[in-house]
Amino acid sequence: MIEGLNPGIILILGALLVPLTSGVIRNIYLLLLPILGLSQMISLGLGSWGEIEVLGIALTLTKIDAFSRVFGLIFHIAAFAGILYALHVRDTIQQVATLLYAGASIAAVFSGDLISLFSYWELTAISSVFLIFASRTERSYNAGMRYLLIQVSSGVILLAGVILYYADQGHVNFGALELDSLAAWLFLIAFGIKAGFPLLNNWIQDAYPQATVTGTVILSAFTTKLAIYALARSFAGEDILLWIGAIMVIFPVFHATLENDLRKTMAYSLNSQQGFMVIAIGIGSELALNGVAAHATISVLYTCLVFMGTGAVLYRNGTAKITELGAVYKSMPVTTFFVIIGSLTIIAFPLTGAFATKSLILSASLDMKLVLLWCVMLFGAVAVIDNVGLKIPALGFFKKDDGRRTKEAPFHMLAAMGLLSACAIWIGLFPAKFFALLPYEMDYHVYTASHVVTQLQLIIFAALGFALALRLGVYPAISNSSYLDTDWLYRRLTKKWTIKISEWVSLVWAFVIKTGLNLVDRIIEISRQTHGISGTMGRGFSSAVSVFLILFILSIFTLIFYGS
Amino acid sequence: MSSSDTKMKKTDLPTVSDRLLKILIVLAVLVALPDILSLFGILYEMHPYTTLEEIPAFYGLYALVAFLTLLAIAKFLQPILRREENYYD
Repeated sequence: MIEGLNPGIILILGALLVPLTSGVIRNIYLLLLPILGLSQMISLGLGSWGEIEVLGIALTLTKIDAFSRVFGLIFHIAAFAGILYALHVRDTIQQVATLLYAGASIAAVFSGDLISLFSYWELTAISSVFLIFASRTERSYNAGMRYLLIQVSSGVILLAGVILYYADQGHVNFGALELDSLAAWLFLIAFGIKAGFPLLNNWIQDAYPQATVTGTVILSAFTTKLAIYALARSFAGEDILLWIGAIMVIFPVFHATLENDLRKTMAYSLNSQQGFMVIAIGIGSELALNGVAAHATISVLYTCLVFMGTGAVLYRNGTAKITELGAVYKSMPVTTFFVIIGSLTIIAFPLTGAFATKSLILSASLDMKLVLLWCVMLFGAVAVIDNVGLKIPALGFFKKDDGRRTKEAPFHMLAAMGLLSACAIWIGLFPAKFFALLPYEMDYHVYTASHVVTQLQLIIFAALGFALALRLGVYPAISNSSYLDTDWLYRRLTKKWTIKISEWVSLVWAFVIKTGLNLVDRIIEISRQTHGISGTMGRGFSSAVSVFLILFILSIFTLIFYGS
Repeated sequence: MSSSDTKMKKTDLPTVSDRLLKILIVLAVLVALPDILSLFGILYEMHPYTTLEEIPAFYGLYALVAFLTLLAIAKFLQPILRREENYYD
């Protein structure tokens, strides 16, 4: 392999050759690129490469440490699984966009400096939007434009931060920061937009459900986790993140409960799970940061898996809305099975990956005596049992049979789901092997009797509550409605006020113009009256009067100057 | 857009049979049992980090309370936040 080449570059450059291939060759080529990237990452090991100077600024093009390697690993797996899932797609734009996006995300993770990070940060935004546009509907176009606007803004804010940081520090190394300068705050906002911080989050729920069947799977894997990586790298131990994370855990779960669209439900749940990782970054201990890397990995696996399952339902049924679905499990039993694996993983069922990884974060919070935050995260854990663990399978796949039958998902989609399921279960079965990849050494036993019992209590009591709520008819009705969220601020309120203000401005402008014209008219009218032909000043005199006046004035002059 | 598009259509939620409910209740009792037994030092020892966890079946009870809170808040917010499906179009 090429010494020091950033593994992401293999996917980015590889994307450019995709249009030259076709058919089976293209499929093999697409699948080969993430494998090549992964082998490049493994062959490089840990270290720094490509230390160059551009315009007097020292850059490090490739830097791999134990923390970034975990993200690199899961990004490669997600890229491979995503491409496998999308093998039926005959759309070069989507294929190129997927590779550019995955490549840029991987390259960003392995960037040693802020300039490289910024470049790849923007490339992720620009490439990924094509996965939304590719739905080719008016709604997806509008959602894509909003997505692009927000994502590029994040990049511009990051660039402003980089410039200020360089002016202040004289270097652009990407490392730990203190929140004591404008530059650092700009970094926090830029990372926060992509991480889905409260009020900055709605692009996730707005855009992801509008992307193509395969696009949503790809989108869900990279941007938000790249932001988690960037936050952990720069702001580990920053207290403000504890509370931002807590709000993130809680706020999206109510929408996730009410939402009709399965993909939107998952997008809300993804946002809540991001909160767990943000809290862990705020805790900042070695155990917590291991938890961030581990839970981000598992989160990519189960999020992609559930999006793949719901995407397959959309692909076969033409809809992923609960109100429009019947007994999907009868037509698509294998897809249903994989979605259940994904759901079990997301609820941290014993023997699945999240059972091992979520507990790292929960334990880290208790180590720091953050009991309130621990309670918040436990609430989030119960909420996800409802939102994804039970609601998506029960309401999305096991509804009353309406007689409709579709085909099972295509084989390559099932293979992709199988691959991710296997990874999620493997980590659950052998957590110690996975923990060995994490950045810090730790002596942590996942399968204690107490952990298994308490987690089962959490899951089974929540399931009992869910069943009782359905039985007693108190579960919130699911209807084909949309629910207002903070994007209402810019999609409705700001729009309404902008239109209103522009109406006012045009009213005032029309008034100014009208008054001005009236004034000019009035001046012309008065001038016409006074200086016109019949006006006082415009009237002519007879020659006798004129001669008399001239003689009169002359006599006055004569008297004054010569009379004395 | 036809008028049926704008109407709010509720879906029938799946029914829960007596059998499923009974199974869940039995399972809930089973997973709560070790906590009760540990009070008498039988079978298993709890490892509480916090005083909250010393409450028997704390996780189960917390899950029920959290779940009910989630439902209550979601149901409270539902009429306030609900709009027709094509609200933004």
